[in-house]
Amino acid sequence: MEPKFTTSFIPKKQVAVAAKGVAGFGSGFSFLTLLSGVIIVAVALFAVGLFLYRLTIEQRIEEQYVTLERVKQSFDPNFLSQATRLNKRIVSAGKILDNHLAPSAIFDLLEEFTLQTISFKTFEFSDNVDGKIVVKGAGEGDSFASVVLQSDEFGKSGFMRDVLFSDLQPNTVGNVNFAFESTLDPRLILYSAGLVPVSSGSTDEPPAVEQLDTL
Amino acid sequence: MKKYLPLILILGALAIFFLFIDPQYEEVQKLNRQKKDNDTMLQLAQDLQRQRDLLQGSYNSIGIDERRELEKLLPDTVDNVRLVLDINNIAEQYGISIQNIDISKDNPNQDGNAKVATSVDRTTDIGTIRLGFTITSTYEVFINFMKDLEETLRVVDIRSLSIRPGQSPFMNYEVVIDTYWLR
Repeated sequence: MEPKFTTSFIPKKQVAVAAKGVAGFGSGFSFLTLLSGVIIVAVALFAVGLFLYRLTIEQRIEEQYVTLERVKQSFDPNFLSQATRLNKRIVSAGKILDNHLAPSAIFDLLEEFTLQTISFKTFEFSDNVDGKIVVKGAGEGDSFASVVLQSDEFGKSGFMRDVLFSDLQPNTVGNVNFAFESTLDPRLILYSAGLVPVSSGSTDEPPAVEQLDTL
Repeated sequence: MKKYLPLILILGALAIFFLFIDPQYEEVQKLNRQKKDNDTMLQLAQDLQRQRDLLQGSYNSIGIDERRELEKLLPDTVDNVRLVLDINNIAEQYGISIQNIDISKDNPNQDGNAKVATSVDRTTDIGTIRLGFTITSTYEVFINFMKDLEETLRVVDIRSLSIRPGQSPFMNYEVVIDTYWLR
């Protein structure tokens, strides 16, 4: 008769099976299981990490949008409009003033360079004819010599170019009528620069009086 | 079953990779690009704020009176009536009056006789109005009037001038001027 009292609660057969299982842990099957387990855990951890990273970036982008919106609101469109307009006005005014003409200076110079024996009856001034100022007029001198001297004065003045006296005719009172035409460089009468005489390019030419004497 | 466990686990890992990680990675890359763009925009915004602060400083450094003078120099509208009034006020100081003011809107390019015309330089936003008038006065008075006209706050450029003899000692002066406004 087999004794009913068992010395161990672990069944011998089960121990044997368990022992067999432990012995199989070191086999290829168990290693593959472990390796695949490690892989899936690593992949899962990476997936979780990636997901959390994505959440972090999304949060950061959200913060960026908030900051950008705050910056946008800090720009007052009304002020920007006013400032832009003012800037445009200053720049445009500068351009206008740079080109602002002071034709009264022409008369100052005409007074300076006109002989006592010459008087003008008509005068015309027109701006920006082929980029130049054209002045023309008519008058009378007490003699031909006065008119020639006047031509010399204008030539030497430095502010008149291409001075041309024409239509010289004695009139009924014994004086000599004439017409004249000349060009000016607009830069010479700029308001900003004042009237600056330039050196005459015709200094090598003999004075008109001498030209008359040789006729 | 245990025999296929590694295969199942590998398949699971592959499924996680292709179904979750790969699309997430694409999305993260997209978000990273967006973040980088936003960083650039924020940098620009900071630069703009600095510029705005400088602009604000410059703007505030120009006083209200100076701004008013600038608006007088280059008004926002043609305002030709005020221009005529201003010129007339200058003339009145010398006891003369301006006459034959033509306020027609003809284009001088089409009709060379037109005395008033407007034009706009698209590159500079400056509008130009051309106005013609005549004055009868002595030479000295006219020269002083012209000097005042040159120095008036609303810039006036005399574009042409014709002087003809009148009843002595007066002469007739036909003046064509340009003045400007900001479009």
